[in-house]
Amino acid sequence: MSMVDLPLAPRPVSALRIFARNRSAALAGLVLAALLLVALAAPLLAPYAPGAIGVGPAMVGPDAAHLFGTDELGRDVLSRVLYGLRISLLVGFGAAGIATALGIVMGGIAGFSGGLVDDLLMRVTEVFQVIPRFFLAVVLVAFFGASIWNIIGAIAILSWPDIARLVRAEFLTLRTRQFVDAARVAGAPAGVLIFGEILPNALAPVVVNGTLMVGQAMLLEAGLSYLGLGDPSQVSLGLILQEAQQIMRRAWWTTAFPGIAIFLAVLSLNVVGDGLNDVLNPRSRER
Amino acid sequence: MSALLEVRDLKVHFPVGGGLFGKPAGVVHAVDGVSLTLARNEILAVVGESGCGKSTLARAVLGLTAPTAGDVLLDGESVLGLSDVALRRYRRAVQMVFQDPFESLNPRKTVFATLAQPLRIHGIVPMADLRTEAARLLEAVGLAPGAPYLDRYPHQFSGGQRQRICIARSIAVRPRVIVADEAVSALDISIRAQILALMKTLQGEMGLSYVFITHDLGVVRSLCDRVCVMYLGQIVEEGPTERIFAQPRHPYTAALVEACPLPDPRRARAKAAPPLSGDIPSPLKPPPGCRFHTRCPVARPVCATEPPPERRFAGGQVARCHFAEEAATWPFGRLGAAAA
Repeated sequence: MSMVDLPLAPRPVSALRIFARNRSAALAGLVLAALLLVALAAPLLAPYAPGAIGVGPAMVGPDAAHLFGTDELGRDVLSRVLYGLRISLLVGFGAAGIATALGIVMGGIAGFSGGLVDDLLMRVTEVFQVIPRFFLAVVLVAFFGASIWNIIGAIAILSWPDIARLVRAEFLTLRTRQFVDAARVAGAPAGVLIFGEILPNALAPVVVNGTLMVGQAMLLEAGLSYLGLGDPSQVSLGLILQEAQQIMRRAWWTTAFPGIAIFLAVLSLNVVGDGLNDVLNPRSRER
Repeated sequence: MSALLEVRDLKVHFPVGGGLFGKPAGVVHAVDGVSLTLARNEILAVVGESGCGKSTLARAVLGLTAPTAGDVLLDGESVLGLSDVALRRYRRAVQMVFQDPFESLNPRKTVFATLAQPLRIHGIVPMADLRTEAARLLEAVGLAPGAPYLDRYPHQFSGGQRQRICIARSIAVRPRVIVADEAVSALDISIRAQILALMKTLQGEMGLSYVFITHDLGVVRSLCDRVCVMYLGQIVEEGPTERIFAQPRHPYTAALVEACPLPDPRRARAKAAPPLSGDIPSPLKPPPGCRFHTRCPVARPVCATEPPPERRFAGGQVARCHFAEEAATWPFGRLGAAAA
C-alpha cells in the first residue's frame, strides 16, 4: 500500500545526553562515580591498613605523610575513610537493592491482584511504616547482632514498604491500561503481564526512589554506628565518626573528612536520583 | 443456523461503592440480558451511544470481564469458566482490536516484541521464524516492507500505523473472530477509511468474522451485514443493515438514523427539533418498563410499566418496542428510507 506514509521516526535522544543536559546531575554523577571508584580501589589507594595502629604519631593534622591526619591511636584517617566509604556504600547499595527487589515483588503482587491480597499486603506495609524507623533499626540490630549483613538486612526490611507502595500505585493505574488487556487477549499469563508488560512501565519512579534510598541507607547505617550499634569489625564512615567524637574539638580532621565523604555521597546520590527522573521519563526522550 | 459465536442472555453487573466491609451502594447493570449470534464470515455491528454497555459486552466476550449471568459459546461450546489452557485456546480463535491505538501498544516494547508475543505463546511458528513472520504480518496490514519497522517503538508511529500494528497483532494467531471495539473512532476520517478497507480485505483473505462495536452509523452502513442496537445494556433492535436503515422499528434506532449526517448537501433535511434529548439514564437504576421511555418521543403510558416484548419483522428484523408496527408513522427516522 503506497498511501501509507512512512515518516522517518525521530531518533530518540540518548539517555546520556539528557542526563548531561542537567548540569548538576552530570556533576553529581561524576562525583558519585569518583567515590565509587575510590571505594572500590581502596586497597590500592590506601597507604595503610584501616585498622593499623601507630602508623604515625597520634593526632597530627593533615600533612604530607598523612593527608587526612591521624587519630588518637595513630591510625591514618585517609586509609580509614577510603575503607569506610567502601563499607558505607556497600551497606547503602545492598540495603537499597534488597529493599527495591522486595518492594517490587510485594507492590507488584498487591497492585496487580487488587482486592483481598492487596488489602492484606498493604496492611503489612503499614505496620512497618507506623513504627519509627530508626528505633526499629536499633531494636533489630540489638536483637540479631551487629554484623554488617544484619545491618543491611535490617535497613532493607525497614525500607521496602516505601517501594512497595510506590510500585503498587503504579500497578493500579497501569493494570487497567489497554495494552495490558491486549497482552491478556494475546494469551499472556499473569507472570508475563506483571514483569513483561507492567513493570517496565513502572520502573522509572522505582529507580529514582531506589537511588535516593541508597543515600538514606548510608545515613541510617552511619546513625547506627554513631550510636555504637554498628559492626565493630568493619570500618564504616559512621564508625569512624563515633570513635572520633571524643577528640572532635582537638582534632577536627578526624570527623571532618569522614563527614565530608558521607555528605558528598548522599548529596550526589540525591542529585543523580533527580537527574534519572528526567532521563527515565519517556516524554523527555522524544525531544 | 451455523452460529460461530453466540452470546446468550449475557449479564454483566458491577457492584459500586462499599469498602472492605461495607455493602455495595448499588449495582451497575452494564450489560443486562444481551443475546446475539455471529455467523461465519459475517460482520456484525453493535451500535449505541457511550455508556450503553458496548465495551463491557466486548470485554465479556473476550473473557476480560467475568459475566454475572448468561453464556458465551464458540461453535456451540460454552467458553465461560474455562481453565487457563482452554481460555488460551479460545483466545486463539477470538481476538480483539482495541479502541485507542495510543493506549493498546506497550510503549516500552518494540513492534517485534509486541507481535512475537502471541506467536510465541500460541506456538504459531517455530522460534527461528519469529522475525520473518512478524515482518510478514506487518506487510499483511499494509506496512511494507515490514522488517525495518520491527525494532521501532510505538511512539515512532502515527495513529493509523499503530492501529495497523494492533490489527497485525490480532491476526497473528490466525483467529476466526475479531472483536473490534471502536477500532477506528480514534482515527482521522481519511485514515479511518483506509483501516476499514484493510479490515474488509483481511476478512476476505482470512475468512474472518467481525463484531464491530461502534457509535458511527456511517461505518455500520458501509461495512456491516447486520446491526444490533444497544441501549442501556440491552439490545433494542437488530436486523440486516439495509432493513434497519430503511425502516427502523425502534424509536431509538430511528433517532440514531435521523442523527446520522447526510453525505449529500442537496438533500439536507429540514431542521426539525432533534428527536432525542437528555442523557442516557443511569445504569445504576434503569427505568422500569421500556428502558427508553424516559427519552422516547412516542412513548405512551404502557411503556413506563411493561417491558416491551420482541416483535419480529420480515427479513429477520427484531425490535423491542410496544409500537414497532407503527414505525412508518413516526415523524422521524425516515431518512434512511428516502436514501435507500
